[in-house]
Amino acid sequence: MKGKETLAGYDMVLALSENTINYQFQELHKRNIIHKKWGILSGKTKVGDKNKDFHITDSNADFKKKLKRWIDLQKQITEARKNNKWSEIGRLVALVESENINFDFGWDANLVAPTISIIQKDPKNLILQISFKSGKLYHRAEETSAVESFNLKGLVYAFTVPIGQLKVTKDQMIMDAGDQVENVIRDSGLTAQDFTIESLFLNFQDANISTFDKNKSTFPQEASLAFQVAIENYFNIILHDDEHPYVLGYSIQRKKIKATEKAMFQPTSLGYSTSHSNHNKKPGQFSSLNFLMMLNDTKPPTNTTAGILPASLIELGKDLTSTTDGVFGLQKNHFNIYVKSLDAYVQTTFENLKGVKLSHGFENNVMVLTKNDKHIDDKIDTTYTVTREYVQNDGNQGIAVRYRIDIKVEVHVIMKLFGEHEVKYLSLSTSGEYTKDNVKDKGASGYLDFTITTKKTGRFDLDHNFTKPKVAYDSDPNFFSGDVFAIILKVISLVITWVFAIVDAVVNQIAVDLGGAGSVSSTKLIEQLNDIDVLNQTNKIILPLGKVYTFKNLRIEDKKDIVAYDITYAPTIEKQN
Amino acid sequence: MKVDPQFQITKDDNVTVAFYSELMSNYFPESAIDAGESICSLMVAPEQPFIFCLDKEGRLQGILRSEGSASGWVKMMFSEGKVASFELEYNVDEDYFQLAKVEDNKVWISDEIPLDSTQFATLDKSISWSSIEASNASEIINKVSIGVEHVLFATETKNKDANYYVAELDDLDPKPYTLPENGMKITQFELGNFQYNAGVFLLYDIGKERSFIFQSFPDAKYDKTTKIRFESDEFINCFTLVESDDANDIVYAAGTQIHQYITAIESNDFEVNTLPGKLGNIKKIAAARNEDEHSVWSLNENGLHYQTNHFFDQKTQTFIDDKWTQPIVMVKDADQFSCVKGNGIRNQLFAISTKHGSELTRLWQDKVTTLWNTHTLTVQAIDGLKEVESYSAHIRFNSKAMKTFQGLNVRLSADSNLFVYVNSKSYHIGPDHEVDIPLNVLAEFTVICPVKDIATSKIYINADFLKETQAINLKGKVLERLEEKLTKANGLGEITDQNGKRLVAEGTDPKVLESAEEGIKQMLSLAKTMENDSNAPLQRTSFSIGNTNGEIQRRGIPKNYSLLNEGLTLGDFLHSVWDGAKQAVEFIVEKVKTGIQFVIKIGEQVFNWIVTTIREVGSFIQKIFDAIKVFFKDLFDLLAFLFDWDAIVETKKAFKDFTNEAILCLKDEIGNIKDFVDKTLDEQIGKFSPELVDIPDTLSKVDPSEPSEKSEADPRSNWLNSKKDYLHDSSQKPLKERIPTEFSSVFEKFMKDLKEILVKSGEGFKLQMDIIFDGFKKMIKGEMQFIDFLKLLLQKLAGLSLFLVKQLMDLIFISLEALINVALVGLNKAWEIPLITELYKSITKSDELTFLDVMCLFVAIPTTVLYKIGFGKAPFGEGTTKEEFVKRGSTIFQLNLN
Repeated sequence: MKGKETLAGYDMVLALSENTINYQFQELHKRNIIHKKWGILSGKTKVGDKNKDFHITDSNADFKKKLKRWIDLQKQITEARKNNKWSEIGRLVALVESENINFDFGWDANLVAPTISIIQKDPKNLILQISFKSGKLYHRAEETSAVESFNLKGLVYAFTVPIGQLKVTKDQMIMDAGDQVENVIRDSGLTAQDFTIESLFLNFQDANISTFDKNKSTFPQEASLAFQVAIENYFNIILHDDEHPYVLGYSIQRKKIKATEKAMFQPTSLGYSTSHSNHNKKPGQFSSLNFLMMLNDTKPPTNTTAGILPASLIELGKDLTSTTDGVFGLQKNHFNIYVKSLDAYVQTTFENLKGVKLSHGFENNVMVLTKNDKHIDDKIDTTYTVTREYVQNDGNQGIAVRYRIDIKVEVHVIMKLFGEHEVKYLSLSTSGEYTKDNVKDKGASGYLDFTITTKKTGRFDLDHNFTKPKVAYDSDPNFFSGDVFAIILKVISLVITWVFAIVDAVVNQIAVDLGGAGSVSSTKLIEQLNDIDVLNQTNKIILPLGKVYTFKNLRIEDKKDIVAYDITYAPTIEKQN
Repeated sequence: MKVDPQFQITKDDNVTVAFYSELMSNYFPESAIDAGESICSLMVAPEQPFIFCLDKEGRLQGILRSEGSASGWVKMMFSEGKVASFELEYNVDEDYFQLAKVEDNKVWISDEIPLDSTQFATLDKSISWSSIEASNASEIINKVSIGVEHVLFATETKNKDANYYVAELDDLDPKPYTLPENGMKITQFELGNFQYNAGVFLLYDIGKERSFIFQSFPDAKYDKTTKIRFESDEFINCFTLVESDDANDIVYAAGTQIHQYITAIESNDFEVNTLPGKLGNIKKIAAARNEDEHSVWSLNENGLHYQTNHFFDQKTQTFIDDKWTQPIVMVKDADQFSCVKGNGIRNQLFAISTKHGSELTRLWQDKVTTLWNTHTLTVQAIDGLKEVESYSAHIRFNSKAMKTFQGLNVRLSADSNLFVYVNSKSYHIGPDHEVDIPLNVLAEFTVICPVKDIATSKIYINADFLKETQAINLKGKVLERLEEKLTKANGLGEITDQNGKRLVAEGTDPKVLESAEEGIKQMLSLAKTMENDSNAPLQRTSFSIGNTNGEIQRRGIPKNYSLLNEGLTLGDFLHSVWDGAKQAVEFIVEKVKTGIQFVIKIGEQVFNWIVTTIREVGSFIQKIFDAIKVFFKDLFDLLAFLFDWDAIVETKKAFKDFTNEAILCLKDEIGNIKDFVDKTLDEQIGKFSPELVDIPDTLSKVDPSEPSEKSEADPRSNWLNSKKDYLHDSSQKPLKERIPTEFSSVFEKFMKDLKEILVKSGEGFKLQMDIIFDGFKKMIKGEMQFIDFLKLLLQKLAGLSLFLVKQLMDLIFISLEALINVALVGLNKAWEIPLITELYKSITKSDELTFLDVMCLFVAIPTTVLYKIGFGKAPFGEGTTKEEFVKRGSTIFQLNLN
């Protein structure tokens, strides 16, 4: 499967589990960040000659008193009507108006935390459920009727919420979401803030409240119409209240999060979808709300399947304990940008070596460099071949990238006697098998091993190890023994000393640049390494949401062609400057 | 021993109190406590801390404050082998605590240890443990933390992420948890609450980075957790939690600064504050809260720092909450610490410093004076010898009434909080902390108050038999002595100590000396005023010390001044700021309504307090001396009473020779004595009565165990008396092993034979015998003369059947003869007594201490001391005096019955 298919046309997807969202709603509710109460009295008031809509909320100190008075007066009105006391009715109606309690209905209810459920085969909508813990809905059918009350205890109002799409491009910000979000986005661009649960809540406000879900709602048959009207009315009133960012009747404030540094994989547009999953028969854990992201101002896909993931990414989760909240996926080709910069770094390391010339940079994962030295009259030509062998998962430790280093040294022994004569040619290499004198070991390739792991706030950590290459004779040097060559042999042994000096100088320089045995023992070298421009990004944010989410278990999902992380929803708190 | 109240002294018996306090050296058989890593402490009872720390071998030890015990501290062990980590948790609501430790790659959890019903002195025996393990044997358990409901432990596995486990204390079934990031090692964790969720605060490493998070326990409905990351712009080394009133924890995280995180209540606006002060790398932090008063202790390579939001506003002389002081150094070179809060002892701190031999030290702040006190924690050690500079007060009660003090108590308290020794036992006394001291027949005791400067307090004595509270100023004549030395010498620079050494180093700037002298004189006169008449007018004075231009500054309190170290109490100031001040110090002292106002100016900083106790003034005098590099040790040599050990040893030698002579005499005389007794008994057979054996009438009326002579109260002459308890300290070896075997075998035979007589004489006789034994012991110890004992014996035996008396006397004489025969050998054998043996060896450098030496020392010390005080020279300075004295020994036991 291509990464593009796995992520339904998007560059990156953050999949947050249904359980996490519901748990976080519950937490916001517990901490009174979302309102636990619906308290409103709504009706008409006289402004001049005209009747205007008006309402009071439970923040009014006389809320309860007014509710009681309203019920009382309406009761007196019905009594009067029953007894045909029309003047009394007129007096009472006037009283209702003069006391400014001409209400049509009122809410005085306590809510439990709202919940969402992700709908099977409907990735563009979800169901939001508002459940009542206790309280009553009061309703007056007409001006002269008594106030009826409905007990709300245990009732659930469920309705479908279309998931908003939010696109942010460099030049233009198009908002499909509400006005409140608009200002925030316009001021700060797309930041980690947009990935908090609170902002998710703000995005639900497009909900069509009137299209309630009959199966999931439980409200009294006889009152269904009044109930629905009241709910609609409630939302209409509240949603038009511009002073507070009320969403679906819940007051909520966006969490303050410091603007994130610009990340290497900085999203430039954001959309939403859902993925229902019954994996392990735990839909709450595996069903996800997906944050769909594009990189580099690329336009989001527009085809019909865009954003419809073939399976919930959470099914790929490695850590499935209560700690984790979802999975983050990045198309592998984007991750390769990072690997390419690692190539560039390795290339620079070799290029910077004294006397080393680049034949060609990485082509099909292979880079070749040469070095030509002269020792008195003898010529020593060295070729370095660096091959990126693999980029693969490294057990528990992240992603491993290995470069193999092969060396070939060609020695031309020259005698200057009536012109130049090559009296001997011999070669040593990392695949050489023959040993003699100074050359004690068989040849062996060297390796540069990198391990990419995730650090805090979406940074990469680069651990590394360097295995020194060894060179040995490609053909049997003992072949040259005998009196005739005694002098030449002496020369050769001198030359070989030089070969080693040259190879060692290069190898040692690499070791110095990178540190021999990993980062733990060579902090200083890592610091140097971080000074090198190409790899400077190891110290930078790679992923954009580091202040809201943590990333762990970086891995390549080969079959899905993505790079994946387990994520947790873990907002940071820090000084707000 | 129960005493019939009618024989006890009462208020109507005109009890007089004699006392004398002196600055002098004291010795205790104690040794410092070896301590390795980590330490925690808990108040198990009011003002009774229990400290847990690892010893140098990594075993878990507990050190309990034990009021009225020898050193004041007892030590016990809580592990057999190495403990990787441990913690204690105190349940505030139910008033118990639990310990958790990691030993043998298992986590051990103690049962609940209730504070109200536990015998803490034997907790090591009564404690019981349950253990739990990680799910995989390859996981190395490296940390444990315990809460009220849960126990928590962390594991490390090679090449894998670290895990942690949480088990409920009810079922001890550990459940594993993962970290939100790829953390390899958990460096610190604590159970706690944040955002109204219970969970775990975790500090762990990811590569070279550090993460600090809170993760709640999973929600039952959704199986999800709350995670919060605490961020600051620096690497966090450690953290600590303090519970707030809404049950959420206030988090203090420390890197080079201290950051405080407070949960938002009904919003997402968390409070994040950074406390003043940059400290370098803080490696441990602790915080405590008392209502709204927070204190934070932080440890870095320079030592232990303290800061508080209980800000002392010097302008209004009141505390302001919610404003933090700058951190001040409290203990230099500390490596580990733990602190507890108390009432009288406002702050109490236990610190371990590996730089000075890993001793456990205690630092505590007195609530009254706010002064800080420091001392090394010790446990009783028979072989230990610890010299302590102290104020020692000898207190004696006298009454002419023929009644006893036996069984009565006196109550001790003090005007500020002190830790003192009374009769070699350690007690805490203070304004709200009174202790009962039992009296015996000898109605006297010695209060030893260890000090680190010349400042000291008043102690108060109350008793049912006293008409009013007696106040004893521990400082005695020390300040007067200082004043006298100052007056006599030609300036401060000319004063020499008792060994002839100059007090002030030569080359000290004479102008500085002059100003210091002026300052000391002012302070001394202030002390006098405070002590004598608090209503007397006090001149407003000012003076300065240090590197000024030498002129004594006389000016008013500056109007505008910067307050870098604002918010400190006087105690905090003296403890930390002063010592670090390199600049000139200027003082203004003035009497105000509520006490004495001190204004101190260091450089551009001005400090301002009102003091009410002499102790504070004393502390000040000490600080002035410190400023001219005269430290407490020097002042001690100048002002303290120093024992002339050479003279004492000389006196002791004389007594020893005398006694040896006396024994020879007794040996010769014993036949005569026996004859005398036999004759008396035979002659008086049938009409025996005490009077007939020429025993004076008074003898039968006076309690014979009461000393016949009374001397003045004086801690110097009574110096060793206050240590006699060590001789019959029952917690040590049984008596038999503490006296030479020669004597004990005589004793044993005597007791065996005596038993047979007792069987014949009946139980009533036993009571009489107890008194006789008591007398006998006293005679052995030199507290009673032989003839007195003999008389006592005869008196007590009156009324017995003469046959039995004769048998008994025979037995006694046989024993006595046996005793004398072994005496010359036995008395001169080495004897190991706690403290005294060690002390004796240290005085004489090598001499062995014999039984006789001990006895003689008891006499030699007061004799020499009093003689020297009286005559200005040692009693046996000249050879002839000594010879004559020794000769007298040869006639001492001769009966002069004519």
